[in-house]
Amino acid sequence: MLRGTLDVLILKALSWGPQHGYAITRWIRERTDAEMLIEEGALYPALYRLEAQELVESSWGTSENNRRAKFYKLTVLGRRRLRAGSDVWNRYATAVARILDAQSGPEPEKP
Amino acid sequence: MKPDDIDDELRFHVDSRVSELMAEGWSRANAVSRAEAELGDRAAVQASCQQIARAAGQAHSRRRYWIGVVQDLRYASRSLQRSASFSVATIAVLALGIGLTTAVVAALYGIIYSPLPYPDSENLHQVYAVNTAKDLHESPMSAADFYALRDRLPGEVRRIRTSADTGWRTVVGVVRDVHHGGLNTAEGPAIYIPHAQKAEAWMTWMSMAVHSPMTKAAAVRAAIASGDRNQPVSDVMTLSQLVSDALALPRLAAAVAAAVSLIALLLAAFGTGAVLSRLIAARIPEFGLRLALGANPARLAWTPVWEVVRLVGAGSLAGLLVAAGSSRLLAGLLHDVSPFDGPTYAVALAVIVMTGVAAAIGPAMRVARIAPVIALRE
Repeated sequence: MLRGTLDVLILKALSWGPQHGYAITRWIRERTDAEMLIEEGALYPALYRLEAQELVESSWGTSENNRRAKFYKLTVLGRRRLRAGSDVWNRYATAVARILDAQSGPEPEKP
Repeated sequence: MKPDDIDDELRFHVDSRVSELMAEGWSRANAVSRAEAELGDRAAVQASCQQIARAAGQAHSRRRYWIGVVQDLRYASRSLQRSASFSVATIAVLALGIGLTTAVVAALYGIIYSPLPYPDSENLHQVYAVNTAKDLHESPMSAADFYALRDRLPGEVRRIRTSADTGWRTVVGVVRDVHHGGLNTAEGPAIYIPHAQKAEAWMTWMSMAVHSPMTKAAAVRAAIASGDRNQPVSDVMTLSQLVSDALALPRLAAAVAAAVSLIALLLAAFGTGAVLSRLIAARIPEFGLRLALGANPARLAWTPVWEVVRLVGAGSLAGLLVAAGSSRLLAGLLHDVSPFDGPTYAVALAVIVMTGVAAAIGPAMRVARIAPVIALRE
């Protein structure tokens, strides 16, 4: 996975409201139909990094099955980063897709 | 960040995944190993998270520290800007008042407490002599001659002459400096010569009065008239009168300066007190808020006192500099006033301290009496 992809995915997952780490993993797994396999362990260092950058903030709460869980929430800064990151990723993806859909290759060099 | 935070978090993650897999029909053992595999290297994840949290915590406290420093600096510069002119004005006024007062106290000390600039001036005597050897009656004998005779030199200098033309004179004694021309006039080298050896067109006689000085005047006139009936006698006065006349102008100047300085000090004290109490009054809502937020009332009441002490301290320093400068000037005007007079400066410092305390008491009492609710409503 490209560097920075996971950050954008996490920010997107949190854009509907506070979530704990496991819910983020599950959401990404379901959204991508398990096509994009992330090593789940990598999620937590990524969350901690985002928190250090003040893009998300965390607090302990109670999960849906009544267990103590740590919830992450987008900050204003995080929401702004998500918008910027989405634009970059959309342009990137479009550019890559255009190249991969191309019908003719590069012009051969004339001798 | 507690170290077991990430532990709890990962355990919650695995447990959630296990219960999800078991809901799909997995056995507990299989579900646990699957969930652990999906998570990856648990210890590495933990270490990584802890390291990030630690670095973030350090960066955070560093940032907080610097934010605090910047806030303090901004507050200091704001309050300095707000009261810079006030501080400067207060210090200047105090400096002027204190400086002038010190200088004038120095001057008054010189005049009132040492009226005549001689040691034991109360025991000053006037003498005249009768020169029996030359058969001269009531010839003048200066105090110099008297002391000279009393304290003879041990003999190194026996003779003296003022130029090659004149004959040698025998030295009978040496006296300390005598101020002939005025109390603050410097005297060059001088010698006393017996009148019989060098007569002048006019002469000043000093005579010792045994009883009342002015009844002696008649006796002096009579004595002179018996020698030369046509000899006019003028300006008969006592020595203390003479000194008093010499000091008249400096004394007047000092009195005027004293009055002006006292007014200056009073203005400085009242002005500073008034401005300070205005300043404290303007900050009463602030003090009320601080009280309402739980500030220690006793310590809060000290705040204006410390501010006053700071101002008065700065003013005193500046004032002592002014005093040193101006009493150096006065030293030229007045005899026997040294620029650095210990007791004088002690008196001036007492005045400074009392002025400062008087100026601080009012504001401090006001702050001590503030009722938070009323102060906030104002």
